[in-house]
Order: sequence, then C-alpha cells, then structure tokens
Amino acid sequence: MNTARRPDLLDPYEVAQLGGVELVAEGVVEGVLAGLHRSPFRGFSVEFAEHRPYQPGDELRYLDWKMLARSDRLVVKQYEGETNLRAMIVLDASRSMDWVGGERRLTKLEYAKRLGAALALVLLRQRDATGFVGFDERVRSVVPARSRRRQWWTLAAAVAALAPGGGTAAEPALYRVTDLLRRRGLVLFISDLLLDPKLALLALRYLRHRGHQVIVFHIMDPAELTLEGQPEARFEDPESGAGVVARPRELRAAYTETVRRSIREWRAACRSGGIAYHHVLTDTPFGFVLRQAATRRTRRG
Amino acid sequence: MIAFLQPLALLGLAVAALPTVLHLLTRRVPPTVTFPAVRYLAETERQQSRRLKLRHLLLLLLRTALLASVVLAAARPVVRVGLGGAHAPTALVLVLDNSVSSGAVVEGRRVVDLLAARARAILQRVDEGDRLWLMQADGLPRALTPAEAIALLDGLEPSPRRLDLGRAVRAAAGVVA
Repeated sequence: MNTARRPDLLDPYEVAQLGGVELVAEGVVEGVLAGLHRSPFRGFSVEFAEHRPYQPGDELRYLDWKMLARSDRLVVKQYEGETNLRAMIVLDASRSMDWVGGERRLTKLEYAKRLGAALALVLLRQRDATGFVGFDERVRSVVPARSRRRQWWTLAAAVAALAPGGGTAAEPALYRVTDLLRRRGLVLFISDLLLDPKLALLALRYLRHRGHQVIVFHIMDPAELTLEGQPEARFEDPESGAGVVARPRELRAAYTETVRRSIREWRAACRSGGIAYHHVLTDTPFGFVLRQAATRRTRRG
Repeated sequence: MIAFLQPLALLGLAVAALPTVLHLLTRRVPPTVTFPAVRYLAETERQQSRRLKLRHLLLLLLRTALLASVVLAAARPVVRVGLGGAHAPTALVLVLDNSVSSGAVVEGRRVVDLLAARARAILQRVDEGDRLWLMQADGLPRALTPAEAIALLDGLEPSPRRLDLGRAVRAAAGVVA
C-alpha cells in the first residue's frame, strides 16, 4: 500500500500541511478504516445487547448471518455501546499546550486538536453522540453531544476555533462533563497533564464512578522527555511564570527519570482507577493512536 | 618547617583566586527559555540541588587548589625537618680558621676543637646532592666528600699559617661560582 496516501501513518506535521483540522481528521479516519479488514468501530461498541429486525439502511456488517441461515429472518445485532453511548472529547487548551520543542512538529495543542477531531469523527461515524469541551483554567467552549449529521461540522469548527488560553484546571471541565453526560458515556480526556494531578485524578475517578468510560491521552512533545539546549538557562513555565535555572548537562539524566516516573505514576493511577491511559508523543502518527485506543477498548470489553 | 627558595613566586598565589573571580564575573543572567514541563524540572532540581551544590563547591575548591599548587611548586618549597631535613642542592665551602690563635684554650676547650665541632654539625646536614669544599688556614679549597671532611676534622690541629679572611672568602666564592 502506498503510505503517501495514508495520512493516518504519516508524520503528524506533514499531515497538518494538507489542510485544516477537519480535513486532517477525515483523512486520518479514512486511513484507519482502509487499513483494517474489520471495522474498528466494533472496538467502540462495547457489549452485545439485543437483536433487532433489519431495516433498510442498517449496516450489513451487523446483520446476523447465522440467524439468517437458521430462521431466514433478517436481524441485526445491536451493541449496548451503540444504543446509548454518548461521548465527550475534553481538550486542554492551556498555554502550556501551545508549545513546540522542535522544527517540523506540531504544537501540543495543534496535535491534540487534530487527534480530538479524528476521535470525534470515528465516534460520529458509528453514530455515537459526540460532544466537545475545551478548557484552560475554566471551561472555554462546549458543544453538547449529538449524533446528527451536522454535528461533525459544528464540532470541527469548535475544535478549530479553540485558541490557547491561560492556566490549567481540568476539574471544572470534567465536572461540567458529568452534567453534559447524564447517561453512561465515554470521556476522552486530551491534555499534557501539566496540572494538579490530585484534583484532576479525583475528577477523572469521579467520572469513572458515575459509570463513564474514561480514556486519558497524555500529550507530550518529544523535547519534554529530555532536557536540551544552552549550557545554562532559565526555564520558564509559560503558565505560572515560575522559573528554574538549570544546566541541562547536569540534570538531564535525573530529569528524564523524573518524567518517566511521572508517566508511570499517571499510568498506575489511571489503571487503579479503571481509566485507560495513553502516552502520546506529538510525533506519533494519528492512526497509531486511534488504533491503539480502539484495541485497548476492545480488550477491556 | 616549610621554606621557599623563590619566595617572590608566592606573589603568583593571587592566581589561585582566579576560579572564584571568574565564577563571580560570569554570573550573568542566563537566557530564558519557555518550557512547559518546568514542574518536572523543578522537582528534579529539588532532589538534586544538594548534590549539585556540593559538586560545584568541590569543583571550585579543586580548581583553586590546582592553581595554588602550581604556584607553590614554582616557588620551590623546601621542608626542613630537624637537622636531617631536605634542602636544595648546595655548593658549600667550609672555611676553617685553624691559624695559631685557634690553639687558644677558652673555658677549658681549645678553639680549634670548637671549630671542628661546629663544622661537624654543618656536615651532618650535607647530603649527596651537595658539593663540599674545605678550606683551612692555608687558603686552598679542597673538594671532599663529607666522610673525608669528617676524617680531616678529626685530625684538625692549629696550623702555623695565618688565614687572610678576605682572600679566603674570595677564593671560596670563586670555587662556588
């Protein structure tokens, strides 16, 4: 297969040159679907629930052919997730997300926007009602979950319009999501997780407790994994303005260890809370992340 | 105790202050870099700061000590421990005035014996690196080993000749030069 036609496998920066948020998402999702024999949607529809008589327009792949062979009746399988899944994409647009650590790379926010849009499109294609919440230290934009055909354009426009803001506080956005998702649903939390871990985890666990499935996408620029740059520099937090004077050469090893430990802690905390966690570097092709998230959900059932 | 053969070189000890001065002079404000993951960096810094501070201090001390030791070495230190202590190689001329007057007895001892005793004390400190001449009242410097010199001192007797001290010192200077 010609990889040049597979935006889902391309370097995210190059994909982003192709067009705006929605074009990229569409290309990526097409690619993910084209690359799989079976629909990844199955991964997103959780549990077999019931049979329902076939109606024209239903997707043929859900037709129960064994039932057809036995009783000559056309029935489709319905999955529980399909019947009542409502999903919310929760996107961090704090100022720390508006950063890029190297040439030919997307800022974390630009990457997260495209990833969020692609996830939304996957969900909308399987007719899950999907909404969107953008936040920095407060909720910045809200698109309630719908599954109408127009929803994709509303949602993509809201994602694209999200500009980098101020500090980070995920709790208001996550608690807002509990209001927006009354029934059991799916929450996709996309953030660089440079926020108060205790409060954020509390809110995520609360969501889980309310019966929602939660997937965390920890967005990180590869340049944040290691400490590079001048022999000595004052590293300044774009949000708080707090600075640390350091010599990268002296601290590099210990810094990398701190970051890796923090990733391990997030993963462990998420796992213990029944939350799926994905660490995503901004040079990972979107398709990998989508597929990983889909397979993870299938396994979790 | 320590002495220096080139005490003026000790002025160079000022160089030892160089690392400290450089440290103070180059304390410019480092460039500011925007970095979102400062919280990880700050945490790392907190954990490492004690270790790093100690390391920086030790480095400074080491650099200072290095420069200081170079300067001290240039000043050619000598350590004298009692009489047998080390000293730089020396050319030594012993001028013994064993003229007739040295036969005089002072407080029960002959002056010539006192001279020999002094000379032996000096010879004790002569080691292999040194060169030794002995000059008696005849004004002729003789190159000797310390052992030979001590043997000669044992048999030292007042001589009938008179020592011209001025000429003897000039001759000695000529030998040493």
